Amino acid sequence: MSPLPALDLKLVRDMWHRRGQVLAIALVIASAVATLVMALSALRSLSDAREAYYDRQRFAHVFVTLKRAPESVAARLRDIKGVAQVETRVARLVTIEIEGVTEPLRGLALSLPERNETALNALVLRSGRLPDPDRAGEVLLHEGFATANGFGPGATFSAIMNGRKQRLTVTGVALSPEHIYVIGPGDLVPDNKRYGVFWMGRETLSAILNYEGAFNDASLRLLRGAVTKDVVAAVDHVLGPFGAAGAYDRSEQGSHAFLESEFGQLSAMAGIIPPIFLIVAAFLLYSVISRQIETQRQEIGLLKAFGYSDAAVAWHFIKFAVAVSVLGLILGWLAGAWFGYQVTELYREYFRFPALSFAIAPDILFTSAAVSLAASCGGALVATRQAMRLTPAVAMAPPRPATYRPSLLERIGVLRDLGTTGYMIVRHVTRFPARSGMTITGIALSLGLLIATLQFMDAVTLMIDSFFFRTQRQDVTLRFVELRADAVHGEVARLPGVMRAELRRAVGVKLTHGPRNKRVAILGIDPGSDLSQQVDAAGNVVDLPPSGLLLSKRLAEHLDAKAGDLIDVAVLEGRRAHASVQVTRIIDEYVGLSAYMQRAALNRLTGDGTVADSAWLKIDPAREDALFAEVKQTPGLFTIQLQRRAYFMFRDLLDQNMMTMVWFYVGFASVIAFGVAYNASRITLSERAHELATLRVLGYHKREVALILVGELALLTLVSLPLGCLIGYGLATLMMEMFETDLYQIPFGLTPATYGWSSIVIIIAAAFSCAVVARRIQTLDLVRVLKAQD
Amino acid sequence: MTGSEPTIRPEAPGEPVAFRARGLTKVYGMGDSAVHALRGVDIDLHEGDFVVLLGPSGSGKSTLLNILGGLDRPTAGTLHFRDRDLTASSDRELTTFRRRHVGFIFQFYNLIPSLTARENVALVTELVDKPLPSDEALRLVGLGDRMDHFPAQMSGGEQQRVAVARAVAKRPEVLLCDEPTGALDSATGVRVLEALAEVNRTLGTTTVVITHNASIAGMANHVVRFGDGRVVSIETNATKRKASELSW
Repeated sequence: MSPLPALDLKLVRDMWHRRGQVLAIALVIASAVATLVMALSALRSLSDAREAYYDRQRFAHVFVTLKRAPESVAARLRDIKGVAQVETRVARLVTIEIEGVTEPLRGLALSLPERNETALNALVLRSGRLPDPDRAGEVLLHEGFATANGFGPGATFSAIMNGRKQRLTVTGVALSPEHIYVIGPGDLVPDNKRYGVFWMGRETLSAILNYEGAFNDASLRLLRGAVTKDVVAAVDHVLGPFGAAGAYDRSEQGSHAFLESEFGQLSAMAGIIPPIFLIVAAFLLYSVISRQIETQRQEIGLLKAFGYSDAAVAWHFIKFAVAVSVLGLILGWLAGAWFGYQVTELYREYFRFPALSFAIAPDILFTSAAVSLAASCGGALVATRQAMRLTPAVAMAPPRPATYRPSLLERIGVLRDLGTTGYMIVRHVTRFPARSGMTITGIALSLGLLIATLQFMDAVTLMIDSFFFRTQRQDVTLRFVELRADAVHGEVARLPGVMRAELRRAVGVKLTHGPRNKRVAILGIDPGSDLSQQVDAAGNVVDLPPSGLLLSKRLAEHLDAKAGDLIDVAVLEGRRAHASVQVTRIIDEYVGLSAYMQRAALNRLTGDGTVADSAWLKIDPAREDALFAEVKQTPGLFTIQLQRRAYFMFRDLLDQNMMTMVWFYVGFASVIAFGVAYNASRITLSERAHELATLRVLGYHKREVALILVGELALLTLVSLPLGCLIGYGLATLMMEMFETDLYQIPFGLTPATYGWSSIVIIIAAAFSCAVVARRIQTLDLVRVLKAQD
Repeated sequence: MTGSEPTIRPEAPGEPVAFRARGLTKVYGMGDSAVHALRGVDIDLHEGDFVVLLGPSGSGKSTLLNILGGLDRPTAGTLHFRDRDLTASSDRELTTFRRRHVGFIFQFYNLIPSLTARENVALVTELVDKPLPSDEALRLVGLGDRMDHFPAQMSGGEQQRVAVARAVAKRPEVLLCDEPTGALDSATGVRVLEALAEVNRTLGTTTVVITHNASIAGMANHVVRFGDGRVVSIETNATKRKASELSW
């Protein structure tokens, strides 16, 4: 006795008989499941780790930096409605020097949170000890910088603070919920080697920076139910007179915002890719089961004649879909777990959590199972309606001979003289329009997916290049500690190796247009700048207007503003001036939210006279070291940011990560294309085995016969290419919208090369599947096929 | 009829030998499950012969036909078509042999359903150098007015006549027919047989017909009876009957 009921045994044998197709479909399902499990699990692991971290270390809700306020002002912040806790501190961006490193590095010096159980943004000590408040020069170092530079407790480095070089000793290494993602001001990516955060005792740091009894940075934790917007307004009101640059909530806190944007990308990935795979899987199951029902009509008739109900017969075929699904699920779960683990490992490099472990939640497994089973059973159900409708008598009679007629294209005279094999191909394709349509759609979807993802890679490159080669073409940015009069230009230009120096001024403002407003910085640039260019949507360089404002597209969308509109500009620093400024042009920029004015106009607006806060430099690379040495000897003037170096680092990073992603998606798309094409070829072979054998008997060589199979798939693939390009265009637009944040916008950069390469990948995948199937023609048993009635 | 002893050659050969088979053996499968389809068949078929193979199911006649047509290979023994040793031919050479010399007709027509009658015939005329034009081949079998019909639009007899036209359009030296009238009623079957006889007479095609239907034997030069994988007897008809005189 077999342990399985007879019908299930038949199921197992059917699956084994169609193992190629079963595996192809299972792989498509597995791709959907793997993506879903990977993206959702990574998202869950990250967000759980973040929530726990924020909670335990009491991450603040509102942040503000200001020039200087006496400590007594903190009490007024505590009195704001909805505020639970306020913590003030001293913060300063400084230049760091490490022995043996010529280039100047940047660091953020922060005063240590108070040592009590309820401190906001509490640190997690990873090694060593906290600095002794009685010993000057002891610091706690952020793990990112410590690891990148090989620093542990006992290591020493110097920082130029308030014009004096301070020798600092590391007592311990720590993490902070404020700096999960550590990125220097103005940087695009983390550079742990060149930018680091460190903490000193409040008294020590205050003494160095002359901030005794004062603060220039505050964090607030809110009561449950507090209205963040109101608190922000109240904080601005209290601290405005003290030079506050405008309070902001978590959504604008650097580290938090980057995490959010990563979360957004993971959910976008989970939202776009799995549905495509599942639609394809449903179609594949539909076509395989339909064909199975056609070839097994007599068996179905027999089963029904024996007394199996319609439902029992349908269930038999649905079980096939369920079994394929389960196989795909298991493969997908395993792959998803592996990918998820890898992705989390990658995140570990960028995001500094005290504990980040990859875990797969049961509900994610359940979700992936539910959606893949639903898609599979959906495809199978449609197919089984056919089997349910068959009456035993009809089913057991042989099917009517296939009826063909000339295809529409022949009838209207478009196709002529195709040769007999040409007619065979075209008429078979047009005889099953639904199925051919689905094959075309399936291949087109895989092509679209590939185009959209490859364009995404192109777009990121375009975004980066546009940032570094248009918007910010400087090699080096010097940031002055204080606003400096324009005379500083001469001082900067005389520095060794400086080939060109341009002064800049950035001012924190709140832009309001009608009901909408946004906090940004306006960058003031002098006309005729060589180191930054603004371009419009058509790619034309836009000159800075004498008094108007240029807005980047995304910012203009936020404000619902267009060229010609008047925008209310509220300066958030200094004299806190207020003015109405006209938007003269909307420009194309992809990084951040940008607003530009002429520096002179900006200075007029703030009422600060002709001043600058930084200089952008083009330098002679050969004299770089001399420049660095000179900068180190004139402390207190500025911090230095190496823009050009950041670019190369970023490109390296991108090239590594993107190549991985490219292969990932090429693999994904190939799985779909292969699955669809393989399935189509197998079904064609099954339907036409008789005809192909006949041709062999008539004296057609194997290659000539295989050409019919290849020709049909080639025709379908050919038709799917333009459709796939259209889908790719649509998907790229969708992804662009789903992936864009205020930090980055994805430019639309579909190039002919992307269409071309993607098409080549899909053609190769289709050709490969066709070759696998065409091999079966080698072993076509002519005698057996011809003995059987069609 | 004369002669009844199994012999390797029909009597009084007036024409050169087309096929020469010696000790043809075909075994399917191995060991206990081995099936001996042919157990050493010796036979000569002459150019222009019209030969009918008779015998019960499983007697080996289809196996012989398939081997003659290069669709299958013997397990042992030799088979020559004229000077060519078919048993030593590669797959590719057998395909070329079928392409150049052999026309097949099967019980179930094996037409390509997506092609019209004319196109089905064109399938073979595209393969050879001096074919009979498709139209002419179809007129030969009485289907001059059905050329643009698809198989599904034709009766069984018409379909089989398309198959005959397809088989003869390449002017084959050999025409191999496996139960060509098996699926047809008597009157339709007669029309198909007439077409075969016509081709045999006008083109001099060596024709081998398998049938269960003993009455067809009357139109053959030679009648070969099969039993249990062997040639049981070979009879020669002194006078061939016309297909139109047959009925069943």
